[in-house]
Amino acid sequence: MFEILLIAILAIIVGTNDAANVFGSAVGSKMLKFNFAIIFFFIFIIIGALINAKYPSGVYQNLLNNYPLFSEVYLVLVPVILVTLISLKLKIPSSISQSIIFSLFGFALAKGFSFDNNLFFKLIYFWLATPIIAFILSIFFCYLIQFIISFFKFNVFQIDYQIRLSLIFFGCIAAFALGSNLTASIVGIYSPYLNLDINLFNNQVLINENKLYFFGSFLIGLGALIFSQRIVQSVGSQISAIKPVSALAILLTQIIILLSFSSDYLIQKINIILPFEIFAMPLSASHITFAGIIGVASFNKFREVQPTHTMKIIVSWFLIPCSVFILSYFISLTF
Amino acid sequence: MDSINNFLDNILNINNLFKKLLESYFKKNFDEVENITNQISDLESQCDKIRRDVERKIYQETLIPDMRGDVLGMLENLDKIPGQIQANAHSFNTEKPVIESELSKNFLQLCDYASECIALLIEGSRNFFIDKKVTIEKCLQVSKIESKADKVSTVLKKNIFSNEKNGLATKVHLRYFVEIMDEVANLSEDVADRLIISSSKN
Repeated sequence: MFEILLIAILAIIVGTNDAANVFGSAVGSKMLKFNFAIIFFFIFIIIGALINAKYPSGVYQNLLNNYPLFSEVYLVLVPVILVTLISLKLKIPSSISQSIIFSLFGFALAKGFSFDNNLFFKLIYFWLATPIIAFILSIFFCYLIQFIISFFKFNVFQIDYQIRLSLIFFGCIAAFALGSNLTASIVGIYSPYLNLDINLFNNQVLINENKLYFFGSFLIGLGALIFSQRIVQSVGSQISAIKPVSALAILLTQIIILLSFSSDYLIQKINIILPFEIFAMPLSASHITFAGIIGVASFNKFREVQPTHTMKIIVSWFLIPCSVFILSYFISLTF
Repeated sequence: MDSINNFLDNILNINNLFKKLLESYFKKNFDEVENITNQISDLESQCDKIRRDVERKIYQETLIPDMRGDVLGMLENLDKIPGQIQANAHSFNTEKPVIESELSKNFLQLCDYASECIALLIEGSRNFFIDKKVTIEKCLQVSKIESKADKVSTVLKKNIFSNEKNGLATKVHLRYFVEIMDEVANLSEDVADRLIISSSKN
């Protein structure tokens, strides 16, 4: 029961925080109404979780050679929840997947479990690389969208209509991509315990893969529905003003990156082309969104970037994982 | 966009009608002047209605959120022009100033320049929704034509006040007509200046 409560808290926090990553730029740029956006988010996040979450979830299992006992998982989750709550309070977006993996690392070190360092460094490599890719892709998409607009010589009302439709359509795909990623981040840690009987209010409940991912994604949707309105409406405003074209460019960037690291089919296709191998992993949607916003801001020559808040977020990318690691290490040593 | 085009077409029609009005006035065809004044009034009312409808639609349907403030400002400023022309038409129709034949040529020239300013401004405004570079180009041309209108109005005023035959009341009356006609060109320049700023920032 306690474990379910922890997942629920984490999922609701993530829903509150991460709905902004998908529809925030569209709602923030006043192209979509919040209520309208959140319904799509709710539906597609669940579909995405049920179809693709199993792939990035596998990373948690592979990181530790000896996975913690079911009763010890809270030692990994509690530091993540604490640090995420603090970062939310400070209005800094954090990455749940990174926090959980650094917490697992702290836990493993404290308990003397062997940790797959090779996989861990690969994850860090991709976590550093994806914001850079997001930065470049968002600029590319800005140019591409501007080119299409000037090529077809649309007037502003036609552009407005096309972008509005695109934001809904791609927002749904982004929610689908985010569904697998976020759900994997939250409930992925429990994926090694599938087909487990859990006593829920004196009823035995068998947790299988689909139930786990549905449960996680449903709670993310619920968190978004209840708590995310303020964050969604203010997304980007603290970093840089977002215009509708920029919002679409950010969304396309998220879709490309998130799907490339969660869809098994896409990963196989990409690996044929790339000289190195990529694999399904939970990425930080917040970092990708942030890098996308900075990318579109650079397209506008950084005119509207708020440097203080931007620097605060970049520093937090290093501070948050370190804090989670230290907290997890000491909590695991103590209990 | 169709409504905005209708709004802009109406302003152009009002602009053309005023030139006709002035020509009829100098031919002393006062029935035609009254008829045209009424047509201008009708078109001006239509402009007000279209502007209100467009503004309401843009805000109700949250259209073009990033530039609706600029569009709203543009429509409201543009709407001042048909209002000014309508007032000028009514002034000619009711006050019937006595304009000597040697001044009428200058009055028509002033009207032509004001009319050219409006035509350029409307072209710029239409392009504000498609190609902002063209808007800036057209609006910069408005300033040049407005300067020409100013020069003609100065010459007109000099001629009016240097004419010994007219009394002070007539001189002041004629100066008033020069000023209200020049005001159309001035208003066009003001709207063009704001359009340049709006086009540059996006």
